[in-house]
Amino acid sequence: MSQGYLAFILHAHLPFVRHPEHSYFLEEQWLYEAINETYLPLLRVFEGWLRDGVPARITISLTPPLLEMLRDNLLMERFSRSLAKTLELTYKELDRTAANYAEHRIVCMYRDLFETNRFDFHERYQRDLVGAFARLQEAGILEIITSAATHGFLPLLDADPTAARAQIQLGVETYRKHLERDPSGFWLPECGFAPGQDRWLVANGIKYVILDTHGLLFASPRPRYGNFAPIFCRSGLAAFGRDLESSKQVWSQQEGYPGDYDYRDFYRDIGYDLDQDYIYPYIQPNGERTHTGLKYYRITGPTPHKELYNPAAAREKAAIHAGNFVFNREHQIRYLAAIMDRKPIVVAPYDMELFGHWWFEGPQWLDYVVRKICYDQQVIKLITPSDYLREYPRNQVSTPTMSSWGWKGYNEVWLNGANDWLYPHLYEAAARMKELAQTYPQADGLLRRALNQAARELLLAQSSDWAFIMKTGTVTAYARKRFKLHIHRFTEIYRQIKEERLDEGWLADLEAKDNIFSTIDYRLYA
Amino acid sequence: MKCKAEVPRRPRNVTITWPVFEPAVSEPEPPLPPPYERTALYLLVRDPQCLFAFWNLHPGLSATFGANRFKVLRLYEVADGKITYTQYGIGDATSWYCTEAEPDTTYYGELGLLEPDGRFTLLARSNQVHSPRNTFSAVTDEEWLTIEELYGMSVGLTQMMGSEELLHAAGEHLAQQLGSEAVSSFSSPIGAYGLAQPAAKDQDLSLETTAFLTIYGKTTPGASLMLNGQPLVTDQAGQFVYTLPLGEGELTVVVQATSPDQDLTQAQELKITYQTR
Repeated sequence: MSQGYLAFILHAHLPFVRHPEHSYFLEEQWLYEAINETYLPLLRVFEGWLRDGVPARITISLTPPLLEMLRDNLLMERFSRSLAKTLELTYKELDRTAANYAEHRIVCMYRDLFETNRFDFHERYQRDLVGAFARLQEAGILEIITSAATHGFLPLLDADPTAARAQIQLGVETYRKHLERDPSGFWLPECGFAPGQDRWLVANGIKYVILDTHGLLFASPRPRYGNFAPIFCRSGLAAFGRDLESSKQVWSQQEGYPGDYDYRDFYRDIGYDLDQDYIYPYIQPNGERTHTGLKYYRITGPTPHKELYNPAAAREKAAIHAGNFVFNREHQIRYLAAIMDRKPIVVAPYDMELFGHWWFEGPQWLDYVVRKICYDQQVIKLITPSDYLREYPRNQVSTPTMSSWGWKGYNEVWLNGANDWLYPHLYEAAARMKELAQTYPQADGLLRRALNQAARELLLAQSSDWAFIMKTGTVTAYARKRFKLHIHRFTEIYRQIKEERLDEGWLADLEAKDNIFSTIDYRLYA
Repeated sequence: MKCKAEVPRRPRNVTITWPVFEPAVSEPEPPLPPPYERTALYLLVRDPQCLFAFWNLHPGLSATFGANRFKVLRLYEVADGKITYTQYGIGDATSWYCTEAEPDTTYYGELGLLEPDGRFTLLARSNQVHSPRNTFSAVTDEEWLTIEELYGMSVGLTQMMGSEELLHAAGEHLAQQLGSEAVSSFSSPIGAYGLAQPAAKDQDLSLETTAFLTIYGKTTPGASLMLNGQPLVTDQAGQFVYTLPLGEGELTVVVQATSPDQDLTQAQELKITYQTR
C-alpha cells in the first residue's frame, strides 16, 4: 500500500510556426528540434514502460497548435528532410572524427539517436506522432490533456469573456478532433488562472486544472491540505497545486539537476564551432550560424573551457539524480501522510521540451525515476489527477486566487512595458470578431471562409508566446512581426467584410499560410 | 507496436539538399491598424498591487476636449459595500498603470471629462476586475480546518514552530519564492487619495453630501509640479487639474512649481475650511 501519490505533468507546447512561403525558416526549427530531441526520445521511454509492463502513469498536455503542427503534412515532410539533413552531417562527422576516438564515440551516439528517430518517425509511427501519443493513452500509460486554442494567457484575455471562452472551447474541440475523445484535464497556459474562468472550463467538460503553488495556497477559504490535495471551485472544477520542492529540483538553474557538470552542454554546438566552409550546408542558408543538434561537450563548470561529453558518466549521473529525486519524494510523502487524513498528492509539472532538448539526459532521468518508483519502493505511487479525483471524489470547496507560474507569480511577464501595446489591438480585434459573428449568424460560401479565417488570425495573435518573447528579449523581431501580421490580416478581413469586397485570391493565400484549425466555426464568437 | 530499431547502416554517397534556397520575398512587417473608433475602456490585472487600464476614444470626441476640460481616469474600488475612487489626470496617454491597488479587491474604471465646474462626463466604463490575494486567506472552513504544518511543507519549510508563526513564515517564504518585489515607488499624480461614498440606505428620505475640491492651474510648459509633496502631471500647455476629497475642517494645499532647469521655484498655498451644518 502506498502512502501517497506523485503526479508528473509534462506540458508540451510550441507556437504555431509554419512558413510555407519560405523553403527554410529558422523558427520552424523549434518544432523539428523538439521532435528530434524531445518528443521521439520521450515516446521511446513511454513505449519502454509499456513493453516492460511498468505500471507507469503520467499526464502530458499537447497544446492545440502542437497537435495541428504534428498533423500537418508540409511540416512533417519538412521535419523528415531536416532529420535527413542532420543525419547527413552526422555521417560526415563520423568520417571527420574517425581518428579521434573520444569524439567519434559521441558522434556514434548521435548517429544511433537520429537513426532510431528516423526509423521511429517513418516506420514505427508512419509520421503520425499524435497517433503514437494517443495509443499510449489508450494503453493506460499516459493521460493526455488539452490547453487553450493558441496558448492564450487567459487572465489577460478576461476583460472580454468571449476571447477567453473561445480559447477554451476551441482547445477542447481541437483535442476531440485529434484524439477522438473528451479531455478530462486542461493545461492552463503558464498556469494562468482567473477565478470565473472555471465556469467555461466546466461547461466544456473539463474536470481539472493545475495551478501554481500560491494559486491554491491563497485560495479562500484556506485549503485544509495546503497544495497536497485538490480543491473544488464552486463550479465543480478541481484545482491541483504545483509542488515547489520537486519543481525546484528539476527547474532551478542553480540547484537543479540539469546544471550538473557531467551533463551535456546545450550551447556548444558544431554549428558554431566548425569551419564555415564545412558547416555551411547545415546552418542557415544565409550563412548565419545556428544549432545543428550535434553537441560534443559537457557542462564542465562555470568556465568557457569545456571537456568532451562522456555519455556513460552522464547516464550514471542521471541514475543518481533519479535516486535522489525518488528519495526526496519518499521522505516528503511519508511526512505528509503522517499528518494528513488522506493520501497526499505531489504535483510536479514541467515543460516537456526541458527533457531532451535543453536537458539532454532528461528522458533517461525520467525513465529511471519512474522505474524506481514502480519497483524500488513502497511509499509513492504514480497517479494522474483524474485517478486521484476518482479515489477522492469529495474535496473542499474553495476559490483559488488569480495566479500564474511566471516571474512574480501573477501576470507581469505578459503585461509590462515591453508588451502592453498588444492588448488594445487584441481587445479591439476580439470585439470586432464578436460583432462579425453576431452580424452574420448564418454565413456561407466565401463570407463564411472569410469569417473563419478572421477567427484564425485573431487566435494566432492571442498566443501568449509573443508577449513572452518580447519580455524575455530573445527573438523579439519575429514575435513583433508575427503579432502585427495576424492583427493586420484580421483587420484587413474585417474591412473587406464590412465593405463587402472580399478578395478571394488573397483569402485563399491566407488560408494556405495560416491553416491552423481547419474545421473552425466562427460562431464560436457569437 | 513491437519494434526493434535496426542497427543503422551507414549510407554512402547520399547527399540530401534543401530545395534551392531562393530568398523568398519576405512579407514586410505591416504597420499597426489606424486608431480604432470604438470608444472603450478595459481594465487588466497585472498583480495584487497593480492594474493596467487602456482605452480607445472615437477620434470625433477629441473636438469636445476643450482647453479647460480634462481627461481623467477614475479607478473605483468596491469594498465592504462602499465605493471609493482614485482619479488620474491622464493627459494624452492611452494607457495607465494604477500602482496603488489593494490585493483581493474589486475594481472598475471610468474614463471621462472633468469640467471646470467639477462635473464629470462619462466617456467609457470598463469591465470589473478582482485583484489577486498575495497571502493566505483569512477565511477558514470549519469542516475543513487548515493543517498549518502542510503550509510549511508546501513552501519548503520543515522547522517546527507554532501554527500562527508557521503560517506567517510560510507566507513570507512563498512571497520570496515568487520573486515578488515591492511595488514600484512610482506614484501616480492623483493616486494617493480616495473618497468613501456612503452606501445607499433603506430609508424613506436620506440626504448625504460630499464635497470635492478641484484645483485648476497653469504653469510654464515643462515645469514640474508638486501638490502637497505629490508630483502632479501637467499637459503640454502646462495646465493641470487636481481633485481631492474634502474632509470636515481645515485643509492646506501647497502647489509648488519648479522650472525645467530646476533653477526657479514658486509656490502657492491655499487654505480651505469645510463645514457641514
